[in-house]
Parts: sequence; C-alpha cells; structure tokens
Amino acid sequence: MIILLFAFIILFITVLQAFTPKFLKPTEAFGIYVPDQYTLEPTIVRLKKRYTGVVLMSGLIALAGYLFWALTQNPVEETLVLLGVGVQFVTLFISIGYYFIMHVRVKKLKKEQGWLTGKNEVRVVDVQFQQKLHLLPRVMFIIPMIVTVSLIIYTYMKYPEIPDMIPTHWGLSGQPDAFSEKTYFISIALPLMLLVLQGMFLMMSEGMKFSGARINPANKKTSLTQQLAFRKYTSWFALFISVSMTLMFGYFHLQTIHPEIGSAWITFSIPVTFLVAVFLAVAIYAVKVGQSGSRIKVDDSSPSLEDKVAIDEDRYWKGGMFYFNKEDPSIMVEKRFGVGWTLNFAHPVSWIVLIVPLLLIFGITFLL
Amino acid sequence: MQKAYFLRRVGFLYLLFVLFTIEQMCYTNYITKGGGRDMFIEIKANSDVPIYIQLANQLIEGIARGELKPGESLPSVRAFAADLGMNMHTVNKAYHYLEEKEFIQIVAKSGVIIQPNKIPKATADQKQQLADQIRPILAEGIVLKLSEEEMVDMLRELVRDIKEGIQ
Repeated sequence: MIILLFAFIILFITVLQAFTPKFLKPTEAFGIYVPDQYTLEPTIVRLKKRYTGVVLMSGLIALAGYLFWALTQNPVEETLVLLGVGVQFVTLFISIGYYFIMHVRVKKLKKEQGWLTGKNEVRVVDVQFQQKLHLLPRVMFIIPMIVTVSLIIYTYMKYPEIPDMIPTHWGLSGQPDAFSEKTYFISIALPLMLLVLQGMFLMMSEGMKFSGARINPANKKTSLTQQLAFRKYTSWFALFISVSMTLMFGYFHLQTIHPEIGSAWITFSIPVTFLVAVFLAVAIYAVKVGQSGSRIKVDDSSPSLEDKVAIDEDRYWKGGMFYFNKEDPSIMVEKRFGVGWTLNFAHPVSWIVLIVPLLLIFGITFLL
Repeated sequence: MQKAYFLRRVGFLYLLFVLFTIEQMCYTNYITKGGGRDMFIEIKANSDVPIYIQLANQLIEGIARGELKPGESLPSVRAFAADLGMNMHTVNKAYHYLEEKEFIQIVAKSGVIIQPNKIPKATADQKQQLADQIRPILAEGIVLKLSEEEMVDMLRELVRDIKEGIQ
C-alpha cells in the first residue's frame, strides 16, 4: 500500500517535471527569454523535447528501481518511506541539474545568434489592469481560518475530556505512533500550524495584487487576457488547497479530542483523498491553465509580430530561477521555469514572507 | 453517531466544492468581461526620451483621445511601477508632471484620477508654452527645407493619428 502511494507520487512528480516546458509560455525556454520570432527555432524545440525525454526516462528508471527493490527485498516500513522520499529528491535533482545544462545552452545560443540586437525593447502596461483583476475576495480565505480558531476554542472547552496522551504523529497504517503529554499548547499545536498554512495561502492570493503584469508586446490582448485568467485561477487553486487542508487537519485534530469518531480506514483514506484532490488541482492548473495562462485559448486575439520585443529581464533572473530586481516593487512574480509564483528576493517583504512561516512552523514542531 | 453523520455531510459538501473548483478552472475559454476596452501604454526602454516623459505623454494622448475619461482612476504609483518593473520614483515623476498641468489629481490615500472637472481651453500663457515647445522643431523643419504647407500637413496628420490612437 505504501509502495503504491510512493509510486504514484514519484510518477506524478516525474511527469509534471518532464513536461514542464509544455506548460510554459513559448517565449520562455529554460529560464531564458526568447523573443516571439525565435520561439520555433529548431534548436529550442529540440532541447525542450530532449529535456522531457531525459527527465521522464530517468524518473521512470528510478521508479522502476524503487519498485523492484521494494517488492523483492520486502523492507521495513521506515526504510521504504525513507527511500521513497530519497527517490523523489533524486528525480528533483536530476531535473534541476539538467535544467541548468539546458539553461546555459540556450543562454549561449541567444548571445551567439544575437536575438536582441537591433530590436526595440518595449514594456507594455494596461492602465486598467488592477481594475480588471478579479481575484477571490479575502474573506473566502479568512473563513477557513475562523473554522480553525473555533476548533481551538472548542479544544479548550473540551480540554478536561481529552486523553492525557495526545497523538502527535500517525503512521501510514492510519494508527498513531507517537504521543505527547497533554499541555495547553500541545493540544492546539495542529490547529496553530494549520493557521500558519492558511495564512500563507491567503498571502499567496493577495500577493498577486502586488505583482506587476508582464504583457507581451507582440501579442498584447492575448497575453493580457491570459494573465488575468492565470491570476484568477491561482486564487481558486490557493483556496482549494487551503480548504482541503483545513478539512484534513481539522478531522485529525477532532480525532484527538474524540478518539471514537476515527477508524483506521478513515484515517488512511482521508490523506489519500487529499493527495488525489491536490494532484488533480495541480494537474488542471498546469495542463489546462498553464504558466501565465499560456495554455488558455483566447478568442479575438490579434497577434502582431512587429519589430518589438519585451524588455529582456534575463539579468534579473539568477540562474533563470531566482528573481532579484531592486527597481521592481513587485513582491510576487510569476515563475520562469515552472508553473506558479516565486518571490522578488530584492524586496525585504519577500524574506519576511519566506522566513516567518518557516520559523513559526519549526517553532511549533520543536515545542512538541 | 451524530458525529459520523456530520462527517458525511462535510465530505459531501467538500465533494461539491471540488467539482465546482474543477469546473471553474476548466473554463478555459476565458472571455473578458466589460467589452474589452484596453488602454495600453508602451514604454521604449532604449529611447532618448526619459521614461517618465514617455509615460506622461501617453497618458496625455489617452486623455486627448477620450480613452481616459474624466474622473477615471489610474493605477497607484506602486501598481504602475510594478507593471513597468521600474522604480516608483519614475512613476511619481510622471504623475507630478501631469498634476502640475492639472490633467490629473492625486488624492491622498485614495489614488490618482483623471481631472474630473472640465479642462478649460488653453490660456494665453499655456498657448505660449506650447508654442515655445513647437518652435525649435519648426526651425529644424525649415532648415531641412520643409515648406510651411508640408509642416501644416504633418500637423494635421498628427492630430488625426492622436485622435484615432495610431502610434
């Protein structure tokens, strides 16, 4: 059963990483900006295909290796899990490593062929962008947080009834395998962590209001529509994850107060359902929406490939992965190689947003 | 017993939520609401003209064209600067430049709006200022042997282009 779970996860991650080039804007190749005139260069197409092939192949081989080893060696649950996670990291390292190789190749190609020489670099802004932006209202993200707070209050109301040993970790069989002595803090540790996570998803949605749009000068109307859609769907995606997490952790927490509502079957199926639901949402987000909404078809678009290219921001993207631009007041920016968002690390708020939740979560787990 | 019933209720609602979210995100033929009125501003990165002047000029043209209506709100300095990927100082300069001309109003804590009151016809002073700006260009034209008629034609064409939004 564990083997199946890990196999599923490794397969999903591998496929998602391998096909990443397909989910991106055509003007993006391995973290390098490619002007519209060159997006169909045979070299670029070839490199993208090769990346997909290599990452897919190596991931499948790693998966096959893991399965073979797991099914023939019959290892202990702990080793199985450790190695399962190890394989995930290996596939990640391979894909990132190969990405860098491609990144350097494309960078060199761009310089050698002089894709930007003689072109006018232009920045396009839609004056009404903020008005057209329809994200989910903040209150939708606050409601799950209110649910969590009520859980905390409920916990304190029922404090005397809670068993003296609270489960703090559940094994893969669905049974708790680690306990802590009941204290006022530990009894709400799980809802507290949930609150931090919910806060992060709230920031993810609201953060898009502080993110500059990047409209493609060669295709203004289409890229504008796609960007607006991408932000709207990101907001939905964030809420979906937040609500799903609330239900899952909420259930686990209620189980510590009322152990009788649980059964091994429910305790197992809920995380699995969560996993499937999240993977489904991610798949839709990556495949149907795509990075910057690039996979969304827009009617009434009129692409005009004039002599204009977007301003080349390559120098702000360190390694094509980390955005660092002091001039840009944006806090969140769209990822270059990947589907989703990343931070402008030149902005101090980005570091706060990154470090504070980490500190809070580590703090809570240490105090358990 | 009630708790199991409650759990099942929650599970069912969650399923509805999942289906609804999937439906929302599968709506990939995204149609813009509001009839698609797009006011695009283009800034040339490598131009001799300073960026804040380019910004201000294009906003003025937007007002001239009637695309930017009186009282309409413009993005905040931060939002504009983020979309440009440039320093907020630049946008600030552009906005103050326009505010001096009384084409926009910067309302503290509220944002920036296009001048809601009717902009009066140019005073003698303002006319002189415009003339002063045109004069060197005309002088150059004369040196380059453009006739008065050619320059008047150029003027007419420019006015037409501005009104129709041709770059």
